[in-house]
Amino acid sequence: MIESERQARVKKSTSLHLAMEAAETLRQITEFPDNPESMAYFYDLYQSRFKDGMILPQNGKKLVGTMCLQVPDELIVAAGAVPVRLCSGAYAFDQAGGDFMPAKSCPLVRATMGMLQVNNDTMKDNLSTVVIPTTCDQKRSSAQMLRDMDYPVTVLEMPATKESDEARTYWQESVKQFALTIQKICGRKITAKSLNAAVRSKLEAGKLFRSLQQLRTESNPVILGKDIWLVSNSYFFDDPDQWCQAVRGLIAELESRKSENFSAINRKAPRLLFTGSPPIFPNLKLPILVEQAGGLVVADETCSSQRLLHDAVVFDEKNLYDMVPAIADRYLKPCTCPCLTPNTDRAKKILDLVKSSRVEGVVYQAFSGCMPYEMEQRAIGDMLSREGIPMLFVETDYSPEDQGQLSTRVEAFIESIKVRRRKTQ
Amino acid sequence: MSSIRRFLNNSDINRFRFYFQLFAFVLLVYGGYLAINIGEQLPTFACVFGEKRGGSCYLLGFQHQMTFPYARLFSGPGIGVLIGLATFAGFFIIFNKAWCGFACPLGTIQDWLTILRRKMGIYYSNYSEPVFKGLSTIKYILLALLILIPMAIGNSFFGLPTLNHDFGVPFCMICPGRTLLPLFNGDISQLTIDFSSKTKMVFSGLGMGVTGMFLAGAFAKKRFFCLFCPMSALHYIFSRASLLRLTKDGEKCTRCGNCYRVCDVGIRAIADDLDHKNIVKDDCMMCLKCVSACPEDDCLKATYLGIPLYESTAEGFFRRRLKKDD
Amino acid sequence: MKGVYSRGFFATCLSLVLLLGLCPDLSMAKTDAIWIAPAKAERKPSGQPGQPHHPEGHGESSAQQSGRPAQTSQAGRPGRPEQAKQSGRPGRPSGSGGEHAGHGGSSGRFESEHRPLPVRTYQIVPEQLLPEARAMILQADGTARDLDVETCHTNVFSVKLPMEEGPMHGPNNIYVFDQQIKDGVLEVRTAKWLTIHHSCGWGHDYRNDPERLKARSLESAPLDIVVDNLWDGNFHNALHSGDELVIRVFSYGKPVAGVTLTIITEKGWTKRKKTDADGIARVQLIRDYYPSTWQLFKRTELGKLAMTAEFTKEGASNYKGEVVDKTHYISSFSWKYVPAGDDYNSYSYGLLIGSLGFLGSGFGIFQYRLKRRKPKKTVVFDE
Ligand code: SF4
Ligand code: SF4
Ligand code: SF4
Ligand code: SF4
Ligand code: SF4
Repeated sequence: MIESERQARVKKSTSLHLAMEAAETLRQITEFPDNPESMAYFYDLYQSRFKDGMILPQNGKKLVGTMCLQVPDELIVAAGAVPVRLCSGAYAFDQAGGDFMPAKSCPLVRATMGMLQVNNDTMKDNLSTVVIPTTCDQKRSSAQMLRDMDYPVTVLEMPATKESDEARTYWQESVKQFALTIQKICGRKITAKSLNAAVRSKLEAGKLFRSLQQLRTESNPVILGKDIWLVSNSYFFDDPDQWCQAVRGLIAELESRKSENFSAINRKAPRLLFTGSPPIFPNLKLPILVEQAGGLVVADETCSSQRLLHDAVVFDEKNLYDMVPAIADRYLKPCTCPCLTPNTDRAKKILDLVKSSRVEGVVYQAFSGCMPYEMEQRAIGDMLSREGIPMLFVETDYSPEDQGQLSTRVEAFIESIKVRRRKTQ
Repeated sequence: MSSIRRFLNNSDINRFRFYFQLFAFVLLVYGGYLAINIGEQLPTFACVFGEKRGGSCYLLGFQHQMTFPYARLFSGPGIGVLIGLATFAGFFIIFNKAWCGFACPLGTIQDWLTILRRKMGIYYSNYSEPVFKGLSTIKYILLALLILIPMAIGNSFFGLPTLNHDFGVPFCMICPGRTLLPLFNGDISQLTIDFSSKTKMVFSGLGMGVTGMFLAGAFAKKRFFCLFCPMSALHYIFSRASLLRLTKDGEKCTRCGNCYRVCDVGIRAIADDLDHKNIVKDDCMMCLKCVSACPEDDCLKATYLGIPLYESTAEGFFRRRLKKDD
Repeated sequence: MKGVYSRGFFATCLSLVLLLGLCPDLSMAKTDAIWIAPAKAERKPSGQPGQPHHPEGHGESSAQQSGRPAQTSQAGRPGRPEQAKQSGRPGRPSGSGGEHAGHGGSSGRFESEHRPLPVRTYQIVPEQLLPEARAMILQADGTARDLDVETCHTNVFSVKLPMEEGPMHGPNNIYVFDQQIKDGVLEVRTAKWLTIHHSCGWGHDYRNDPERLKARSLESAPLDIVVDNLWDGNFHNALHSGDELVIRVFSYGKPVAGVTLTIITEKGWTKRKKTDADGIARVQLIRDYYPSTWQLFKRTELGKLAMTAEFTKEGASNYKGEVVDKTHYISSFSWKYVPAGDDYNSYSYGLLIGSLGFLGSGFGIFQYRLKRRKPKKTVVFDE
């Protein structure tokens, strides 16, 4: 009795904090001048979802929670369920997770676990299963914790490398197995037709996202990076059709901005690339700081945005025997997650983005406790310095406390880029 | 110019290829009815045994010429051999290995078998990497044999007795082109076992066995035969000089593997090789399916004399992938 | 190499030749036909110069062949694709015929259109021609011209064939005519020979050209034997044992009915037939090659075939001032044939091995796939 009362109290206060946090982030975001009008859809969306302890999609279909973008959500959609990515960026949940998670664990995992713990009563029944791929140690370990909390957990076995034929086959078989599992859980058979529809839906989203990405890198800045994160983050939980509709509207607006030569920010703003541990709403602290300091994030290499929708499924034959492995390939082969080794593709990807988006500096975020990104920081930094691109490495977490100190560093970094620019010109 | 390029890049090469293959098949297998003769040294299996062909496979003549004794080979008639080889190379250099992807009647038959299998919903086979590498060397062995065996007819090797003339065109005897392509001219006479000599009997028996394996193999594995094809080995000698090229910009490649996934031959390098610009591998048939499946702008490209003909673009990619399903 | 059968046969022929001192075929000897045969002069330098020359032409050549390995030279050549490919584009390569084999002759080498010669020399057998004899050639393009009569008197005459594409590229008919009064009957004799003049180097413009390829009849020939379908669209012999011969007989360009045709093969098979109202006779060729085992079988085994046509016309005619009341026309023609493809090609074995290959690999693939399912290595959807 006491325990459940305490639980209810925690839930209530966390819910309150969550709403406040979301409102604060949205306030900072909307404070920028010249926000695109079409962004209103997304601002409202976050406002309506980040309350009452997080509102999951409700449309009568089964919900399948995922804990990483490595989960092939096409299969979930084809099985008639709705995938929702549970990875959380909320400090409120991070604090709740701190009650039972190690102090040095990754805030992303801690917040996600915190959310599931706080909402234990409702989410357990809403989620048909939580899919956890065996990526980084912390996600792997949280699978067991979730089981102990009585969540239905599906582990998706993923190899720690993607180079060898064996690893690729192993992953394909693992995804094929997952297809069988998920259709059992959802009670609906995956067919070539339903899978094709799911693939197309995600391709459509990918296509729109690429256009958005393209507009973002225009030399005349028509949209800021912080908005891009809002857009891509919302794909975690929004209805794909509505999402596409909203993005189409946004693209149209940006196109007209482009033709009117309208800039959303100073055209001279240093062009930056953001990479590292994924910023997830409401924790858009660092991107917002960067742009508040006068930088412009024209590209990112994070699994909460660019990596989420960039890659595309291609199959040769419209039969499950080819489609499912093709989906598996899409989630492994282009993957640049540092939990893979070797992971040379990430450096390559960053370099390509730097060149194609004419980037002048890189902001590298690592969550304290996120070992893979922290450890890869060196290699990326070395690679960039060889290319003559400065990099700002920031180790941070979800708490707002270091904001002041961070903003000084960020401002200094941006200033240094401006100085470099003057020198070279 | 840019609008033409955009149109090309947005186009669906697979559909074009399907119809072009059909056209080439009719031309090469039935061209004789219209007195069409493209050439005698074609770098493709326009089988000479097909009476109504519209051009001729080079391998038969090539094998025959190899039966010349050295004295002939290195004198006057040797010039004829060189001219033949040069003509072959000339044909090849114009289209590179696209002869395989777009023209070869035997390749087309394999593609039709693939369509049949797909329609039947039977899954295809794949080779693991070591198996692929192993099998892929067989074609060089076959190429060596189809030169050496005929040579042993006109010349004695190491004092061994020369072979009899029934060994004249050893590869043709086991080539599925010989047994299958004349069928399209209504000529079933190649389906026989020739008992007129032991050599003929063995060779024609092998030929029929290979034909059976060809049909079963090509049904289960896309472009099954092409991995063993000595024509393809002969192609590769000249491939670098070709005007048509398939190039890759490793910097743009995300190693997403889409290109490998659609590659009927199963060339891993197309996705994993980031270092070579010229990406035409010996087994490639230049079908350009990989270009159409690559979602990165300018990553894969087919160029002719340096002018891009077909490039991978995100726009084209999504257009093809999202077009109305048939 | 040489089959038991042919050895025995040639031995018999040789003894017959020796015995009769004439020609091996009695029925042929009975008729008074004259024949054209490639002359000794045409023999390749490598031939045995000392070989006695038998003026019998076709009938006799067998005796010669027993003496020298003519067959070896043929055996290596026809019926194989590479042979055809030799000088350019081949025709139907393994069309199981004696491609480009040419006629058999006493030279021991066949008169082959794929080894064109600038001059071909022929002789008349069995006897000296009469003084009034003339020779004509009906060229491949359908034009006819006289051949030098003078040379006819020596029993040997030559035909020049330009080594290039031209009116003689293709089948050329060579005729020799003579006549005399014998026992109160006017005897009009015709001999016909066909040489195909072709080199792949001259191109294949006439490939499958019916006009250039058709069997022709000479308007001025007193009696002319025309056999259809002896060669295919690319100048290869197309006659196989078992085929039906369609023989048309013309006299001065008009078909004649009631002509007695005698067909005789080298191996002694004889068939007599009379032409019908359209001047046509159809004769099915015998299959006469039966080696004891298949190892002895040669698909290029050449059989020779001779035919005569004769008929007597009642009615007075005047020759050199002498009047007779009967005219006897006689004409000769010869060709060759090879075993039919069915004799040595087996569809059933072919399809058997083909299906075994297909089913074997199919089954192998199937087994492999089954094996991969258990213990689970791959998931297979049942859809
Ligand atoms: S960092 Fe890697 S493991 Fe973590 S959520 Fe992103 S993709 Fe998944
Ligand atoms: S049998 Fe094969 S190699 Fe020979 S000509 Fe025909 S297609 Fe070419
Ligand atoms: S490799 Fe294939 S397509 Fe090319 S020539 Fe050989 S059989 Fe034909
Ligand atoms: S499809 Fe394009 S991006 Fe993907 S691996 Fe192939 S070449 Fe690289
Ligand atoms: S590499 Fe590309 S062009 Fe070559 S065969 Fe494969 S898909 Fe076709």
